[in-house]
Amino acid sequence: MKALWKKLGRWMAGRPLAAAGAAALLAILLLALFAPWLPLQDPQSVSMRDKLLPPSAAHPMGTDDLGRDMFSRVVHGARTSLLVSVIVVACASVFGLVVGLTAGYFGGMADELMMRTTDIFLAFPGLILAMAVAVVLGPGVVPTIVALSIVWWPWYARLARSEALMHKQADFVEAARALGVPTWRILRSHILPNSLSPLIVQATLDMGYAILTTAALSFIGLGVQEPTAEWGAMLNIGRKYLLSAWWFITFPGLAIFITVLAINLAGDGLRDYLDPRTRKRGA
Amino acid sequence: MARYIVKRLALLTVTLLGVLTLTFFVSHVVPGDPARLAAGVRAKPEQVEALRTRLGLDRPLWQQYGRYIAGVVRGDLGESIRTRRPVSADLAEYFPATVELTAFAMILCLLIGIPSGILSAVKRESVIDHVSRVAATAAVSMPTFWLGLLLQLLFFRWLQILPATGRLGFYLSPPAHATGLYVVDSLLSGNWTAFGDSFVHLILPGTALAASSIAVITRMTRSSLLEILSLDYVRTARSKGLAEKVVILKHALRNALLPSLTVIGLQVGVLLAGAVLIEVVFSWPGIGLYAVQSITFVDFQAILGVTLITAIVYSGVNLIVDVLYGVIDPRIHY
Repeated sequence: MKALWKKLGRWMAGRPLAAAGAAALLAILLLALFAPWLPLQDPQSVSMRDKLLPPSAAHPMGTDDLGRDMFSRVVHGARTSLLVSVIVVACASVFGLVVGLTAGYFGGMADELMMRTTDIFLAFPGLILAMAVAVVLGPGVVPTIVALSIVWWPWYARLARSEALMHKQADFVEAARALGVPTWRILRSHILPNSLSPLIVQATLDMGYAILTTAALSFIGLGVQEPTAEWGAMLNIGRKYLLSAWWFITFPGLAIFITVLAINLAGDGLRDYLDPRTRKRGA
Repeated sequence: MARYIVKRLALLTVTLLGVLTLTFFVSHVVPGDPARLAAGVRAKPEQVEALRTRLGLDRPLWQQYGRYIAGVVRGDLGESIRTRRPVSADLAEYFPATVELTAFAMILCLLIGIPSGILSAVKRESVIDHVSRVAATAAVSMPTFWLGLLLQLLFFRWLQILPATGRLGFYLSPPAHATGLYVVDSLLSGNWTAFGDSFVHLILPGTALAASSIAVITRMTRSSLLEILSLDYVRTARSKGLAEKVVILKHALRNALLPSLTVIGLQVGVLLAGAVLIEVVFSWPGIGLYAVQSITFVDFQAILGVTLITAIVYSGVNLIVDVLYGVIDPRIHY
């Protein structure tokens, strides 16, 4: 494991963009993790006297419509966004992995059923299905997670299925079958480990999309609600003050942009590293 | 070919039936009380009961399912509790604006994405290629709605050269209705003022909506063109002394655009979803704005109607793309 990290580090050194993305992502993660213990102002403390103040030494990103410190809210917003996206990607990928591997390995009816079911989910543009589900489930963090997981699992199921199809005819799997290894153990010990790397890449890049979609849901008034600090919800209120308070929409959006950019750069690097096909092309 | 289209249509029917089942499930089974949801938050208990009987929500679930499917097939998408009109009538009114916006964004995608993809591939590893790569990563990392807000800030608030909201200036009346697309309608009726004004109104929302798709199409065109350029037939074309321009534009590009076609089809879904957000930012009266305005009222039928129509349009586009693929590429036999 240690050797792997070392190798990864050396490889990253030749890719400044991927390394910068990974470093930025690490910094954002640490900031989000330790936000409550950092010397920040209370993200919830309302002070109508200080409302809509432009950026200054006291408020580096200005204040919002309730006089709350934007900088503190943007930092706390990272907690919400990252938490939601990590859980969504975890739920969707595990569920999709189980369904997809099973369908791909057994084939036949199970496979047909899975393909047609995913067809249905993939017939909707993601955000729009998430919107419909989120309306039924109501506002809040948990409904948002459920809505987004429902949207994402089919992608993982398809990916895992194609991996299972690829590996099930492999010699080592045939050998295991011939030796009488039980099916679930073949799936767990032979198919699963060999299918993981494309799924890991997909999951990393999806973190970015999950952050964008979470913000989008909150932006249209679903998802995470006030007074919880969340970037999309902040933008939703900020747009009412577009003409008078430029900082209100600028900084939460910048936070989303930088976080997603960091994830995409790091994810691209990871893909090139794990996928020998793109590595060879060097593109 | 005909057999393939029939097969795909059959598959599409199965998918759409599944889509309906899913929306039925979401609207009738998941919520604790669908009548309560349909009546709205402010309805009194007796109103809820009356609605329950009227909508047949007191019947067994399988009967409700049958009624729901039959209704949708007839074009009955229920009634909006906000506008007090049939949802299908509302959609007919709002949909053209969404079509106009997404079509404009798609034209931008093709006009900018394909040429810049060709340029990046031809000038591989040059400054242009690197700039386009960085710009593409930035564009897909940016929230569509935030880009919209930034464009408003820049071009409306600070530079004051472009309008930020709506489809037309308030001093103009919409052109004579033909297609519902203001740009097309004003051309048809020869109304040049309205044409210019509606076009100007499209620029900011269209650009914000198109940005991430332009990036995807650029990268896709680049990588598929590079793949084609390494093939033997391209080498043959070059070695017989053809000009590089002819080799790329006539020989390689046609094949390189095939994989892009699938990506372009998928981008229609991205644009339709993005339109929801862009319409909110730019007060663009399309189905996205309609859906979001319905959220505050928990106007469920309206939101489901929008969900359903987007799924149908998106599936239809992807079917067309798949069939086109076969028409354009003679190597593919179904």
